[in-house]
Parts: sequence; C-alpha cells; structure tokens
Amino acid sequence: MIHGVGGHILWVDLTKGSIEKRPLDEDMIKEYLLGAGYLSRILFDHIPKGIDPLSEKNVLGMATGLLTGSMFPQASRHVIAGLSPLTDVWGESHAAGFWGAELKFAGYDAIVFTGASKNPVYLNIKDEDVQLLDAESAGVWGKDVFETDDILKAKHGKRIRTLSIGQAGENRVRFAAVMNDRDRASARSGLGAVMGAKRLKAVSVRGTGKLDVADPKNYLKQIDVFHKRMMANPFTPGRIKYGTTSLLELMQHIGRLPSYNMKQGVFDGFEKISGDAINQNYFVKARADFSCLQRCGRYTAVRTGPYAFEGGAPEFETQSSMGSRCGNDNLESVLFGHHLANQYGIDTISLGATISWAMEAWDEGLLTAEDTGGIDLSWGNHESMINLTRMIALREGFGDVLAEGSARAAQKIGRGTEKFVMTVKKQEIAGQEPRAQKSMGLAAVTSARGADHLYSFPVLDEAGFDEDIKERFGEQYLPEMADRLNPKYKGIMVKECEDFMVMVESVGLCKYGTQIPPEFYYDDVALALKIHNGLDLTGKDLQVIGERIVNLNRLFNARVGITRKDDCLPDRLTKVKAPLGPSAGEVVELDMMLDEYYTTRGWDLKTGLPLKETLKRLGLSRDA
Amino acid sequence: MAHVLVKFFATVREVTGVKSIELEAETIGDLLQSLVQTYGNKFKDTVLNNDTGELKQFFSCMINGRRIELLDGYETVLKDDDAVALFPPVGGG
Amino acid sequence: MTELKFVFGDPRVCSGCMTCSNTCSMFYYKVISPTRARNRVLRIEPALDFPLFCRNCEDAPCIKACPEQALMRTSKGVVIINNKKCVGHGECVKACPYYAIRIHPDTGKAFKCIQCGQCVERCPADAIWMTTESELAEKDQDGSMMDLYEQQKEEIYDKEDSI
Repeated sequence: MIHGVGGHILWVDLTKGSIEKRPLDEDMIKEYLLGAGYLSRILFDHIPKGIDPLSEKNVLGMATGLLTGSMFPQASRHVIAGLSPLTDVWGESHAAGFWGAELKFAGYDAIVFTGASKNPVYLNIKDEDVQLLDAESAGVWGKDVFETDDILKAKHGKRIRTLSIGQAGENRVRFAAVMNDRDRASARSGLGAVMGAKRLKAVSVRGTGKLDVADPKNYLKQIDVFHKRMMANPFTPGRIKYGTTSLLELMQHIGRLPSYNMKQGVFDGFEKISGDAINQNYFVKARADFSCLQRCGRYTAVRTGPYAFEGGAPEFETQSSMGSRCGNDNLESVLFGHHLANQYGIDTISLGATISWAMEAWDEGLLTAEDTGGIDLSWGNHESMINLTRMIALREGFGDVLAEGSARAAQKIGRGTEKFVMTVKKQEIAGQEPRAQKSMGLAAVTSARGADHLYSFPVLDEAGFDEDIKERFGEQYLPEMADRLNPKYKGIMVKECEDFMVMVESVGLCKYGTQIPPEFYYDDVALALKIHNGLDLTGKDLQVIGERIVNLNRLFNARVGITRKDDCLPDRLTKVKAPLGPSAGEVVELDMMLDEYYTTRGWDLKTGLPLKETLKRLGLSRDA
Repeated sequence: MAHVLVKFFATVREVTGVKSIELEAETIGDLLQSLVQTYGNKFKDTVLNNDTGELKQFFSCMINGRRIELLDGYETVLKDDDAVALFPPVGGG
Repeated sequence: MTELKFVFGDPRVCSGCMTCSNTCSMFYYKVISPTRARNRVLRIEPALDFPLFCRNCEDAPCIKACPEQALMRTSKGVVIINNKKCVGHGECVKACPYYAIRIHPDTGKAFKCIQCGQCVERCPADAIWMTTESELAEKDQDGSMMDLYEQQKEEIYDKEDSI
C-alpha cells in the first residue's frame, strides 16, 4: 500500500456529467510515479490521434505528485496536462500553491476530465462529496480569476482552494493559463483554453483529511535534515530576498536577456526593471506555497497612477517578457501587466513574446495602424501593451489576432512577419537568449511541450556549477560542459537534466531546491519517497523512470507527426550572430548538439525518434 | 596594472553599498584583495571563504561576462576597460 | 505566578508555508493534516499570513466553560485537556475568543496548542515565537502588529467555516 497520498483519482465525464472515483493504480506508480509521469501514461492511452485540442475529444489531466502535501521542502506542486491548443503536441504546465495539497487532503491525487459540458460548470470537492455545479448560476462564468475565487469562497466557504480560468481561457486564447490560489499559474501550453473549450470554469477543493506517512517514527527527524540543508544552502537568502527577480541583472551581464523580440541579449534599460528596482519601491512581502522554505513568491504593490494594484507578481520571466523583450523599461507597467495576466489567466511569457513579435513587425513597417486598429506598437509602448493584454483576453480587435499566438498570427498576417516569430513548435521561447547559453537553445528544441526552459532546465552551465557537474557527470566533462558558450557535451547535459526534471515534476517537488540550487538529487528524493510513501525505489530506479517518461512524451509527439525536422530554432538564433553584449558573435550550434542529444538518448539521428532497443529497455515497446 | 570597472550585484551590492567601483589591479586575485581593503571585513565575510581566500561556493566572478573558472581563475590577468562582475549565488529562469 | 507563555507570530513576516501546522499534526498525531494541527494558518489578502495559536489567557474562559471540568491549568501554566473527562460537546470551543480550541475530527475530543514549541523551532521565516504578554508589548512597541490582529478578528477567529 502506498502511503502519503489521497488514494483516488476522479474521472469526470463532462459530456455525461458523471463522476467516477477510481483507486490509484499502484503498478503504474512504480513505472511512472504520479504527477507528470502518471498523466503522461494516462493521456497517451486516452487522447486519440489527430484530434482538435479544443474539441471534446481532448482529455485534460490534473495531478499532484507523490510528495505533494508532504513536508519535503517545496512539496507544493501539481501539473495540468493535455493536447496543447498552442502547439498541437504534448502540453503540460506546473504550478505551486495550496490547491494540490488540498486535493490530497480531500482524498484525491488526480482528476481526469473527458468530454465537454454543454453548459459552463465547475467541479466542487468537499472531501467525499464531489459535484459538478452550474457555473453560470453560481455567477462565475465570464468572471476573472480573482472574482471567481471570491465568489466560490463566498459560496462554499472561505477555506476552499480554487483553481480556475479567467476570461482568456473561456475565450480560448491559445496561451491561456490555468490559475490556482489566485496568482499561481500553470501558464504554458495554453491548457486554460482546453478548460474553456470543455466549459469547465473551476475546480474548488476543501479537504479535511490526512496523509498517513510510511515512517511516522523517523519522519520529522529526517525532514529536519532536509530542512536544515535547504536553509543552509547559499542560494536561500538571495531567493528569499529577491525571488527570481535578481536574475535579470545576471542575464544582462551574460548577454542572455531577451530584448527587442530576441534580436539581442542585452537591454539598456535593464536597471529600471531589475530586482533591486522592485525591492526598493514596490516589494511588499515574500510569500511561500505549501511546505516551501525558499518563498520566492513576490507580493508587490504600485500605490498610485494608472498601474496601481497589489498582488502576487512578478518573477524573472515576466520582467523579461513584458520588459526587455518589448523594449519596455517602465517597471510599473511590467508589474501591472503581470497582475493583469493573472487576473485574466494568461501566460505572461507567450503574451510578452507575442506582443514583441508584433512590435518588431511594426518596427519593420510590416504591420500598420490599419492592422492594429490604430494601436501604436512602437518598442516600449507600455500603454499599448496593457491595452493589448485586455484585448487578447477578451479577443477584441487586434487582440483576437494575437490571441492565436505569434506563429498563427504571423501566418495570418504574412508579409514576411513569419521570420520574426520566436517559437519552437509554435510555443514562444521563454526568457533565455540561447545564443548566450547554448544548452538553453537545445533544451527549447527537445522539450516535449515546445519551446520551454523548464522541461530540462539545464542551468548547470549558467553561473558555474563545476562541482555538481563533476559529481553528476564526471570530471572529464570539464571545463566544456560548464561553459555556457561551448556547445560540447550540452546534449549529454540536457538529456540528464530532462530525466531528472520530469522525475521531480512527477513527485510534486520544485525545480528550486533540486536543480537550482542543486541541493537535492535522486538519492534524496528516493529517501523522501521511502519515509513518506513507503516506496522502495533507488536513485537509479528514479532516473530510469524519468527516462521512460521523456520517451513516452516523445512517442506522444511522434504520433502527431513530430520528428527531427520539428526540433528546430528560428534562423535568427542559429544563423544570425548575436549583435551586442558579452555574447556578441555567437550563434546556437544546434545540429551538433542535437546529434549528441539523440545519440545519448538512444534515438535515431535521422528521425529523432526512439530506437527499438531504447523502447525495449524502458518497457515501452508496445507504445511505438 | 589595468584600470577596470567592478560591478556588484544583489547581496554583494548590499555590503559594498555601491553598484560599482573603478580600480587598478593586475589579476583577479589582486582585485579581490583591494576590494577587501576598500570594503573591509563585511565584504570579506560575505564573499570570500576564510580558509582559502577564494570566492565562497556558488559566488561568481566574471570578466566581460565570462566566468573566471573558464579563464585563468584567480591568476587571470586583467586589461584596461575590462568589466568585472561579482554575483552572489543566483541562477535559474 | 510567572507570566504565562504562548506562541505568537507576525502576519507580515509569516510566509504562509504551514510548516508549523504540519509539524504539529505530525508530532502529535503522526499524520500531515492542517485540520489536525493544534494551530491554524490563514492567508488573508492583502499579503497577510496569520499563524494562530492558543493565547493562554490569564482568565482562561475555556476552563470555566467546561461542564465536565476537563480543562485545567498545569503548574507550568499550560491549559490542558483531560481526554478521559472530555466528551467533546464543545463548550470550550464556543468560549474561546480566538478559536484556538477545536474538536479533533478523529477523537471527537477538544484539542489545543500546549506551548510545546516544536513549531517555533522549525519556522523557516522566524515568524513565530514563544512569548509572554509583556515580551510581546516590547516587541510590538508601536502596536502595529496587534492592530492587524484586531482589524482582521472577524475573519481569523470565525468559527463558522472551520471544517
């Protein structure tokens, strides 16, 4: 018996309006853990080939990890997954907060939604009592994320935790987020639009149950050791003080700060949107999620002016996407833009990146006021950015074009605007100018969910983790692997990091504490799974599980036609030398890194698909 | 001796109280010593490992955006107008 | 009598991570369950996280309220519940102005913080302390922290929406 979990999965057929409680499949847990891995298996088995992601045939999963709700540092995470309406390939997105732990206390580890409801509904869970309720009569359909949280709390009690979409999800904006606990976002992959298409507004949960851990006698003693390590880590004080906002200055300094739609990796106005600038004038409080010791969550406030607000915001990705990427050094608009994106439920990365695509097209004279309905898209025009955020969420005017994401918008507009699209598999590249960090270029391409830094999160070459590289890989890989500009060994590094990160996403832990700082590794997670869940898995077992999940995600994508030809970056990043800054003159040497990556993975060099023997070794032969 | 600009970031900036300083130094080792002289024990305790005199774990020193570990470490010779940066542990995305 | 001790925290410093509650339910009941923790943590927007504990009132209305005389103050000044006498009818819960006593969902008996300090040791934000009325007044000289408790009292001591 597996300890420390809710024990059941809810299967909700939205077409029929039926709810079924199924016990956790313990055999599957041994192969895939829970969280991202478990959903990878379920959705591979249940999403038919060749469907429209916004049709009722798509299946949407929400799952907690094996350690979500535990006392392990940062055990607060859950995952949302399905076929992505932005990329048309595997879609997954993760968030922290309290919703995941609450779901476990209610007795559930995951929810799988099939079909689509005729009328807008939400799922309300109060321990054993699970009901689909009318979202229109409850007054939440059409409402934003904060209003939805307020209304559902007034109706079901203020101790409930909510997960919902805002107007962006209802309007099927292709980069709509699924939000929880007001300002936590499962933002990438556009899965908010899948909720909208299923007419599923929210999942509210109250759980008054308990997690019975496997080793209660030694639990606190061992947790104390993990806690002390996390608190003593040299990264922790800076994380508490700045969250991720201090990254901006580091990125500027290594030329990795996407600026002007990724034309360059440095931005003159960087100091105005830096972590220090936030802390000096707008910072209110560092906030944690469930069991989180590092509390990188920011709570900020702009007290006066057109951008007045207070709420959870921002982090580095938004500083870069709504700041430097759009040539915008107006910090108040960046903070407010983040808040607004939370309110409407939009991914701030794709939002900023899509607007910056339009800004470059405007700058080049390829987009005009006629296209935009009179909106001026000059670099740094923050009033236009804020207006467009609203218009995208509500699909008004030019916002309706941008709501499709930059790849589809460019296809519609044409006129050569396509070459300014900075995407992989139609998802906008996040805040890592890859010419300044080659591993990030490779990671964006190999990530199962399209352009993404987190699936692999290869940060070991970013600011120097030579000791960790030595431990994980061996001394023979130094110094090249630690050199962010050297493409050598990056295929090996990205592969290793992917295996580890998908495993971390399957146990519900945070990348902060596992990957950066690299405090907890496979053996620590194995120990946590033993005392919390009673699972006897070794670090090596966990690595193989990670590898299995990555390969299954690849098979999912192979089924929709993905091969090596799709694993590519925009020409700007592979053919045009970075023009300015500390990484000037660099391009991403993608092909050579990809060769090394596929070889390390045991994938075919030509097709980029898993070889038979690789699948056999991982027990995936029947899935090819 | 080279004339260089040294920039400080995040928690390092808190102990120096300034964002940057210009100074003369031959190597990175020399430069760190002059910074200790300028900013005193608080800087030393924050940035350097007392036993080795080198940077504490995860602190980064970069010259024009390149980590010194990938150059000649503390022996790296500075040239005029080099931009040196000192970062506390920071990283991620 | 020496001054009564109790655990108290600053809602501006508390990050809301619930390590105190998880420690408590694990320490006493060998499970992780905020509902079974002897304290509560409530996030109140904007930006306040209240870690809430028994205030160890000098007049202790909970003791007086119990018709079974199940509550008593020990020689060390801690109000405890005698599980043999407690029948769980909740008069103490009603009497407590801070909602610091609740009925345990598994045992059906009253339970409360007994100032053991396990949570204080583990708070990653140093937001909670074992303190006394006079120490607290010293710490909160301008009264701004107590003001926050006063302003939010309807919300944080509300017993209606406990479970």
